[in-house]
Amino acid sequence: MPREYSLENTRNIGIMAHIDAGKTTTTERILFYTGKTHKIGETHEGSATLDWMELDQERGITISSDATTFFCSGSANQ
Amino acid sequence: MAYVNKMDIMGADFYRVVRMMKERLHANAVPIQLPIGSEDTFRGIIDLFEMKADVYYDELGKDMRVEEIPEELKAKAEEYRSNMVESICETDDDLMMMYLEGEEPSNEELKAALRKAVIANQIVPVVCGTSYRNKGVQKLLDAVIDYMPAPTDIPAIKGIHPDTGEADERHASDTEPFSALAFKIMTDPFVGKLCFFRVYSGSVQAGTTVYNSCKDKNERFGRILQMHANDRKDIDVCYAGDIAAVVGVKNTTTGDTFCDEKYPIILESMEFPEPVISVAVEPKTKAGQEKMGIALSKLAEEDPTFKTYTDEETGQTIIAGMGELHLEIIVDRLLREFKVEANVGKPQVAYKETIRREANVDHKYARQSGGKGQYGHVKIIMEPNEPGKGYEFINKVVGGAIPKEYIPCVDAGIQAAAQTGVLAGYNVVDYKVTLYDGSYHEVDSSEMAFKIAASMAFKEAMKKADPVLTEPIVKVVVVTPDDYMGDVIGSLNSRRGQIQSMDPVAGAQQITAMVPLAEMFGYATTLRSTTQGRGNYSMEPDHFAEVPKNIQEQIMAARGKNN
Repeated sequence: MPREYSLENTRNIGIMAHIDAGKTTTTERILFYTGKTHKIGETHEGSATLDWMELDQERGITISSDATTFFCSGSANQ
Repeated sequence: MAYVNKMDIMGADFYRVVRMMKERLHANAVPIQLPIGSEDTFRGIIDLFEMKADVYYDELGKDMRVEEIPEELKAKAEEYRSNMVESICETDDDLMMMYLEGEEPSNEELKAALRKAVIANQIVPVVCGTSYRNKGVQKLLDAVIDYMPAPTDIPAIKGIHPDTGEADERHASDTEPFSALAFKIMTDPFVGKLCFFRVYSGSVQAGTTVYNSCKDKNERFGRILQMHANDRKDIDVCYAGDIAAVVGVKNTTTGDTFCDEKYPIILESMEFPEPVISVAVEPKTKAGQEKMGIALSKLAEEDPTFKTYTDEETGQTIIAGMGELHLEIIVDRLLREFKVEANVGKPQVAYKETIRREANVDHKYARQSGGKGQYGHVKIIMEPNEPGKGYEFINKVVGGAIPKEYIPCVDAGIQAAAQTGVLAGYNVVDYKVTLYDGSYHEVDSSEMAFKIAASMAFKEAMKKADPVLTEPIVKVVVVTPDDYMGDVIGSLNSRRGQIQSMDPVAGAQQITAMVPLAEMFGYATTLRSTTQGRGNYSMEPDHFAEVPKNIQEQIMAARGKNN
């Protein structure tokens, strides 16, 4: 299977910030705008996509790092 | 690049953040956007390239209209645009020439130069928005695409050859030999152990076998998965630059390198901080003991900052991690994911022991009274090493005073003895031992004899070398309303804290202090009651420092009683 998207158009990004700065919230918006999810998840409602552990949802914090892939119109991104 | 979030929150000040990035982080922060309004009036963003305003008309961020820059912000936008142009031109000779000749480069030229400067880490572009109110995220994504590097834009990943130790590198290309770094292990209840990896070069197909160069073991890549939170999709192949997970690897831990066995390489691994806090845990039922052991080792595989071990003196199971919350979550996960109920002891600080002076010791261990005897004789110099350097062993024995095969035993004997220091039985760190002479006996010398001689020599040397206890110090940042500042400072001082700075932030005070971790237990409750719930704090491990004499004595006395 050949590569679907070129390496030049790939971005591997990580988000790093202080506690409560809004990393998960920002990630949720990115997933929504790129069409990966169809509803914006909220940390305080326990519905954020990457906060899938029960414990994440109860405490409203993100415990583990996670990976996901999304595609932007015009160019493909990871 | 930096994204200034929460522009809608009280006290939001974009310009202050940019200034602090320059002053505190020494970053060449260059705004490429400006906010329109702030706090509850924040309604859009000025793009300093296009010199247009993007104004949001709904809450979902879908109705975004490009408009002229509002009149009152025109001057500010001009000022910041010319700053931005100047900063970009400074990084590029051709543009600098144009700039000096009074000609302004085109947006395309500027963006191309900015991209280069960002990738070279010369400029940190700053954008802004509020994720919660759905403003600015699209522009942030555009900036990611415009200015962040693709895997091909950054220098080749460096590594070393596992056998020769020679420096080597891999370019981000599908045609290079395969190399990937395992950066995360996760235990999944359905598929078992999942290992996340990032491919640096080449490609890997499902069903093939790859080589783990750090463990010198082959691993079968049965299934490769593309992960999306807890969803997964099977893929057949993944290429350079991809991030994926593999199911069922056995011998791999976080930080290992996967590669082509014919072209072995070890990529640089991450460094993990040492645990600073520990608690004893014991299962509520006898039957839980084994289950807890398995569960804890699984959690430790997932999380390299979490350690678990058995205290040899008390026989208790100890878990150690980066903070109270960290350990609380581990215990919570034990219950939820592994159904193990556990009692938790009082948190213990992970003290360390080190030395402050040099000591020279000549130690002979000899038991030669009939039959096969024991004989080991070492002369060592023990001296302090730089903080954080750990342990170093230097062999300077010449002329076979101690046969070669016994040298590693001396090293091992010292390391074994350093597990329990002479003061209070804590790990000994940051010291150097030089073995410079000794002697042996044709018949009676053995590996064991030298190991014992070395560990006895170590204990003797450490006592002479002015030993001292060190404790983890955390950097504590407290934000409190002005009214309670005195009380907060008082409570930090009473916890042996040293106040580093006090900065006013929008009607509140931000206090930064260095406090010994041992004094921070239960601080959350104290702070809440002194500030009527309005203050909050965060802390992070900073460094290790010597424990004051009187407290050192208390710790030694307490440990003495237990032993």
